[in-house]
Amino acid sequence: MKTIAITSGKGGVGKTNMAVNYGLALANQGKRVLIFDADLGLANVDILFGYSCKHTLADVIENKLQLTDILVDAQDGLKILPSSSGVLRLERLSMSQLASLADAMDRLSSRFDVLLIDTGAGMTDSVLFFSSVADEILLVTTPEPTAITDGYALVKVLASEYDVKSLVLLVNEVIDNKEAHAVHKKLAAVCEKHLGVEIRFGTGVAKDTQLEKAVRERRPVYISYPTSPASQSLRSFARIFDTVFTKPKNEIAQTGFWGEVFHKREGRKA
Amino acid sequence: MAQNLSDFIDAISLQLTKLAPDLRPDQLRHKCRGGVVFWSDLDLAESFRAIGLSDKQIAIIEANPHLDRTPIIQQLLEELARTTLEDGLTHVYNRRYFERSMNSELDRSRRDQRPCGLVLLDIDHFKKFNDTYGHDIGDLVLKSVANTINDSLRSTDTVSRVGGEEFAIIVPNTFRMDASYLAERIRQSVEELRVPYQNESLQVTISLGVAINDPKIVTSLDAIYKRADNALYEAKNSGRNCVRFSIAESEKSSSAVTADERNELLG
Repeated sequence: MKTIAITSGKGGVGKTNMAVNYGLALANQGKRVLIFDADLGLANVDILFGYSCKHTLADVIENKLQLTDILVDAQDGLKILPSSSGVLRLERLSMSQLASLADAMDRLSSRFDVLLIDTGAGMTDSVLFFSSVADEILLVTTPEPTAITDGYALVKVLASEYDVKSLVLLVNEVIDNKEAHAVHKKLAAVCEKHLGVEIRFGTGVAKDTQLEKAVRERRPVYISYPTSPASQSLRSFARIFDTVFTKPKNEIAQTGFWGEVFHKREGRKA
Repeated sequence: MAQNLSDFIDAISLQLTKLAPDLRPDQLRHKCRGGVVFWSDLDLAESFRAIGLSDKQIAIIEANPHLDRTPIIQQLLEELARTTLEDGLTHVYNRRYFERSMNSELDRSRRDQRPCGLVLLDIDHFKKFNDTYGHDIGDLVLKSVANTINDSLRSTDTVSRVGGEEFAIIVPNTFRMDASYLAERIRQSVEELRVPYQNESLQVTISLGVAINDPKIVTSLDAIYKRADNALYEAKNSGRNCVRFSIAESEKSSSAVTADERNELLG
């Protein structure tokens, strides 16, 4: 299972939308995808799908339900692990809660090819944390100046505090592909020069009125408007998944993603 | 007891100085440990008396020349070493230990380029316990909180009582999030604590301030203490029973986007 943290420096750049629709596109390619809604501020993956999730991770943590009980079938090959805001304040979880959650997640991992983690935006601990434990980071930005500088600030912290050396960029709401490449070129150059971080081009996603329409209808654009520009970009991006996300797996492969989460949380207890 | 022990040491030191004038006081413990000093050379009765042993007890020791005095003295000396670094009431470390240890951890942090954290915490409305229930309960609260903190720590962390109701925890080799996590865990443990009082059980809460040094720059004990203290003050002002974190100026600037970077990004 490959874990991808989908993150952004600034909120409102369409990160959750990208996670959901990219997840759908990947599932369409035959990948078994799990979206983990770790956007603690909003926890809105379910809203984009038009579900209201009756059960969330909170029920698992409180030992009321099994992890498999709360997974939501969104589409063939795509499941969602719903969180609810506040639940995943990691510092509020006890060691035994984390341990059992980690075990349950690792048992799930054999059933999926891709885990997309919607981390939420900004430099909160959980964003940084999930970004640092995932195999790869997909940074979402728009051409808007504040989105770019906030994105850069996030990369800066990830580089200096979490030793992140490479990530993939998705530029949302672009006029054309040229604009996406221009944003990438500039960001990549500054990251390389000042931080020594490599920014790989992922994709541009067009500014798309149909996407906005889909959001209002509470249906993913990839389902409602499969031929819209945004859907097409994400479909192409899903086709090249294996060539884009090629970063060799680190030691996470041995402990499992959640093993790593647990390990990190436990600190360096001697 | 501490007073008596130091009398005891003084008494022994005085005799040692007479027997071995070149022996420095700080060598005393080693000498005793290594068995270099022959107890028979010393008038132990005088020293025993100084620590409050009764004449009868001393007489028993004197009457048994085969009774090994080394463990007794060793025990007393160890206790002495402990009492000089230990808080008498709560048995966690005292301020003297804290200052010494924090300084060396800050040095080590610079050397290893690994951050080191300080958690300062203060019992909320402590005066209330003393005023309402008496000083015995106040002391019990202090002891219970100290124990609870101790139980929540990782093996490398140390807690010291640095003021009346104030404790400091040194968390070496710890990043920002882990230190916050640890602080939050301690806050919870204390919140769950119940101190028995007659038929009641009293609840105690604490406020915590966390600061982490930047291993890239020199941080003094005063500087990190001040930052943790400011964060603690913020926690108090935020309604108590919570954790607040202090971000160092250097951390801010390392994460903030500089003017150059901004120009290059947007230019």
